Parts: sequence; structure tokens; C-alpha cells
Amino acid sequence: MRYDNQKIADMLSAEYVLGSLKGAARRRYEQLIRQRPDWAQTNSWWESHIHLLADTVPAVQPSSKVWQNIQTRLFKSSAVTPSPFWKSLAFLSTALAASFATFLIMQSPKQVIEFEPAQVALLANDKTQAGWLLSLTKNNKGESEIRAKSLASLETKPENAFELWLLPADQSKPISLGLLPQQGNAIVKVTGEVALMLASSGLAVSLEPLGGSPTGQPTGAVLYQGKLTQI
Amino acid sequence: MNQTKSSEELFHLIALSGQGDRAAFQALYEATSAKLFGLSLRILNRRDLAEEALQDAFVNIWHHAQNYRPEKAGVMTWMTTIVRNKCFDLLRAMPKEFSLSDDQSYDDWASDDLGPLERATERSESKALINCMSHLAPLQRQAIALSYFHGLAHEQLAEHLAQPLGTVKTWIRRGLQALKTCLAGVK
Repeated sequence: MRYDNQKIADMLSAEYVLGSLKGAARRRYEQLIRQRPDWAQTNSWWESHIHLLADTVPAVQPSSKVWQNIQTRLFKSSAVTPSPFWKSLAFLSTALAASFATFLIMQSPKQVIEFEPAQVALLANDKTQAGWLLSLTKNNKGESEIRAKSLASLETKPENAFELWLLPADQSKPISLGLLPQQGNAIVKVTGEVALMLASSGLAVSLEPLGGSPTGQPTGAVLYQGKLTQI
Repeated sequence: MNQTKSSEELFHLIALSGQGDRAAFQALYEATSAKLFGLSLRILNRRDLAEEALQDAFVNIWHHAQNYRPEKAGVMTWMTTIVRNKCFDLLRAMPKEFSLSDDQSYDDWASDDLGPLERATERSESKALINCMSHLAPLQRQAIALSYFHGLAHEQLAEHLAQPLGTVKTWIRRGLQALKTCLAGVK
């Protein structure tokens, strides 16, 4: 079938991301990427490459009123996000503080984004609520480790433990990676062998008795899932 | 002094914004707004409109941050898509003659020297893209840039470049195919 042709998928995806695909063809394409994972993947590939064109445009500092307007539109009453520094200025009138904010944003140093690739995952439940942010890194001894950060939307279970599993791509048994924190951050050490498998594997979190699964395999419900991706 | 943010930090900032963390959202804005404003200014060519697009985009980013998934797109790719769409929304609402001014001809992309474009980039992947673009014919590059920054359909491109429609279509497709081959080989 025509839709199985990779060259066609590439051309339509590229033209879609570029913006030259219009009208009915554009809508048909959007339907296709919702229905076909292979097309969705081709779409992601082109998105991640074509949008690099935007990086060739020099950065220009927008005026400080843009940020003020965004805050007004989103948070109405509080025009300035509180930070420790603002708290020390609390004695000043709101108006004065606001004008200070303008000044400081204008004076803030130029931000440079250092795009070092990182391996990250967001673990979410079936209600699409996120539970943890994970990053795979190496510590200063060169050992691989997963840094886990629990999120506010995590539904904590103080009577249980959350155990992180690697789901191998070949469908073999899950491998326990360790327990995830209910609050705050934790580091999960992984062997070099497991670190290599992580790129192609899924991740899942099951609910276990305190201390973790007694059997070495998941015994409770799988609540959160995700996948490590290079960004 | 410059401050730097890594991809991992940006990922944390967007995920925390999705949790309603305003300080993270502000840090995300401070880290990315200049680059994204540069883009909207390039597309809209008018400061007031570019600021309006940037505002709309960040309001949108706040509301949808909880839907961000790293396996679908990088943080900058995701935000760039939103900003560019907001710009195109504004462009569509403009009178037709506004859509492309004379100083937006993208001659820099037709030039033999892509150095100035490369110097503006912040990411190593972008340098790879420019390198692959440099192997295309000047008019192919220009057509791709016009299409990306203005969302022009093939018909409008043909008109703008004063070339037959069929030629423009073939150029773009061949150009994109060559880009794919080149980029896939970079890795």
C-alpha cells in the first residue's frame, strides 16, 4: 500500500513540518500520524531536525512587558513571582516592586542554553499524571545512575513502596532497578549492562510492600510507565 | 556573565511548570524567550506582533506543559512548534500583502557562505543541519527557508521565486530527500 512507502512518509512529514502541506492533505496527514506509529515516528524525526532551522535565527531579548503580560494573563492578581529576593522587598509598595521587576528582568544576564544531550524519562500514570522525572547520568566514578525526582502530582502511598522496573525490549522478565522516593530525590544505581539496555527498554513502576517486591518480580499493580529518551 | 541551562534542566523546568510551579516557568521563560523571540521576529517582521505571538505562545506553554512528553519531542522543538504556530495564526489574520516583505527574501540561505547562519546557532545538531543544507543548491535552500519561516505553500513559493510550480515541487522534494540522507548519515 502507498502508506507503507517510507519515501512518501518522509516527503509528507517533511512538507508537513515545513508548512507547505496545506488543506485536505494536511488534515489527512494529521489523521495518519494519529493512526500509524511508523508515521508518527517519521513525523518526530522531521520535527526534531526541521525545527533546528529556528536555531539559525539570532536571539533577541523581548521587552520586559512581555513577561509581565504573560503573568497578568495567567496569574492575574500576582504580577511578580515571589522569590527570596522579592520577599526582602516586601516592604515596598506593589507598584514599586513591579517597576523593580521590570528593571531586573531587563538587566538579567544573557541566558545561553547549553544543549548537552541528556537521557531523560517522565513516568506517568494512566490518567497522564506525572509521578517522577528520571535522568540517566554517570557519577564522578564513571558509574551509571538514575536520578529520580518525585513530582507534586504523585499520588503517594505511605503504606507501600514504589519499585522501578526495566521492561526489556525482547519481552523477557522485568528487571528490578530499585525503589523510587515518595517525596524528594533519590539516586538509583544501575550496572553498565542495564544502562546499555535502558535505551531500548520501557520503564514501569509497580506498587509493592514496603522494602520492595519479595519475589524479585512485580507483585502489585503497575501504576506508572515511561521510556528513557535522549533529548 | 552568561548562565547556562542544559537540556536536562530545561526538561525539569517544563515538567515542573506542568505541576504548576511558577518559579520553574519563569526560569523556563528566561532561558528560552530570547531565542524564541528571535524566531517570531523573523517570521512576523514586526516587534509588536512578534511580542504578541510570544505572549500567546507562553500562555499556551503554561497550559499544556503537563502534556509535554520527552519521548515525543525535545523541549526546544516542542516550544518552537508552539511559537511558530502562534506566529502563523497572526500571519493568517493579516492582510495578504503583509505576508512577506521585500527584506524577507532569505538571500542569506541562497548565499555560498552559510557561516553567519551557523554563528547564530547554539546547538551542535544545528551545525550538522547547516552542513547538510550547504550541499543543496542555493535556490533549494532558499525555498526550504521560505517555506519554514513563512509556511508558504508550493504555489506561493513558485510565485515568490518566479519559477514554474512543478520545478519548485521537485526542488523541494529532492532537497528534503538529500537532507534526510545527509542527516541520517551524521549520527
